[in-house]
Amino acid sequence: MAHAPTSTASEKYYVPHGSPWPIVGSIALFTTVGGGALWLNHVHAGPWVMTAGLALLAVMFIGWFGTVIRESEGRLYNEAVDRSFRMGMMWFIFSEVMFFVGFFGALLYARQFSVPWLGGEGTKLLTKVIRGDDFEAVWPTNGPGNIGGDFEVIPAFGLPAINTALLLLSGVTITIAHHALRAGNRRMLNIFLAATFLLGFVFVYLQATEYIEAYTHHNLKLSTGIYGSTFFPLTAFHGFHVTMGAIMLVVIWFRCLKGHFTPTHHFAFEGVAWYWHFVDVVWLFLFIFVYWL
Amino acid sequence: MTRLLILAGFLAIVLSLGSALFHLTRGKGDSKKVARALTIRVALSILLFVLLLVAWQLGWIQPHGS
Repeated sequence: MAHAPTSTASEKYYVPHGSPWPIVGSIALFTTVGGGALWLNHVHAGPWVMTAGLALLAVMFIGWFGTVIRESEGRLYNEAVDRSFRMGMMWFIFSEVMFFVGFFGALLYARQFSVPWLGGEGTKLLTKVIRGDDFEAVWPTNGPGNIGGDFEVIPAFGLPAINTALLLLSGVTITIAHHALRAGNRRMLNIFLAATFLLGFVFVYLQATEYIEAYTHHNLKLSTGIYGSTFFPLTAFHGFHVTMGAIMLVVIWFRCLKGHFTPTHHFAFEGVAWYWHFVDVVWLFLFIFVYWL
Repeated sequence: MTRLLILAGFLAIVLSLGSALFHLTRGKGDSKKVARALTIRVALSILLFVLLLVAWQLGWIQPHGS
C-alpha cells in the first residue's frame, strides 16, 4: 500500500509495466470456479482443481502485495497514487458494508416479517388459517415445520461473551499500537500489534469450538430452519473476516519489524487497523442482535 | 428504554468508526484524527459491553436461550 510521498517520489503516476499478477489472478479465478463447477457435477478431479486454483490465488495475493510493498518502499508512489489507495480502501469498505447489510437484512426480514406472518400477525392472519397449525411466532425458531428438530441456542453468556471481550481487548491493543506508531515507540508498536493478531486467532479458535458445541450438544446446525441458516452464515462470514484481518495484521507486523512506516506516513497500517475496528464493530452488532435482542 | 440506550450507543460507535474512515480516505488523510476517532470507537464499545452486562445483571434484558 501507499507509502510516504517524499521529495524524491516520482512526479508521474506510477504504473507498473509487465506485471504478471493480473493474468495469474485471472487463471487462478478461472481454475477455482472451474474446479467448483466440476465438483458440483461429480467429476472426481473437481476438488483438486479447485484447491489448485485457490493455491494459485494465494500465490497471486502474496506476489502482488509483495510487489506493491517493494514499490512503496522504493518511493515510486506520489501523492496521486496515495489518494488512489485511499479511494480503493473506501470502496472496499463500501462493498464490505453492503455484504453484511445483505446478511443482517435477511435476519431482520425473517424476524420482523416472515416469522410473525407465519404466526398470523397483521394482515397475514389468513396464512395461519390456511396452514391450520398452532405455530407461535417467537424468536428463536426453526419455523412451523420444526426443520432440523428441536434445538437450543448458544447462551450469550458463554463463549460469545468471552469472544466479545477478546475482540474488544484486541481493539484496545490495536489502538495502543496505533498511538505507539504515531509516537515513534517501535517496541510498544510491535508488542501490541502481535497481541492484537494473537487475540484474533484465539477468537477464531473459540468460534470453532462454539460450532462444535452447537452441532454436538445443542442440535443447532446450518440446516436448523431459519435460525440455523441465518446464525451460521452471519457468524461464519464474520469469523472469515477476523481470519483475514488477523493475517493482514501479521503482514503489517512483519513490515513493522523490518522498519517500515513512519510516525507521519503509515497508510497501510491505518487501513488494516481501521479494518480491524470494523470487524470488531460488526461482531458487536452480531453479538447484540443474534445472541441478545 | 434499555434497548433504545443500546441502539443509541451502537449508533455512536458507528458514527465514530465512520468519522475515522472519512479522515482516512479524504485527500491525503489525517492520521491524528483517524487515531482519535478510533480511540473513541473503542471506548464507546467497551462502555456498551459494560452496559449490556449491567442491564443483564439488573434483569433489564435477557439474552436468547437463558
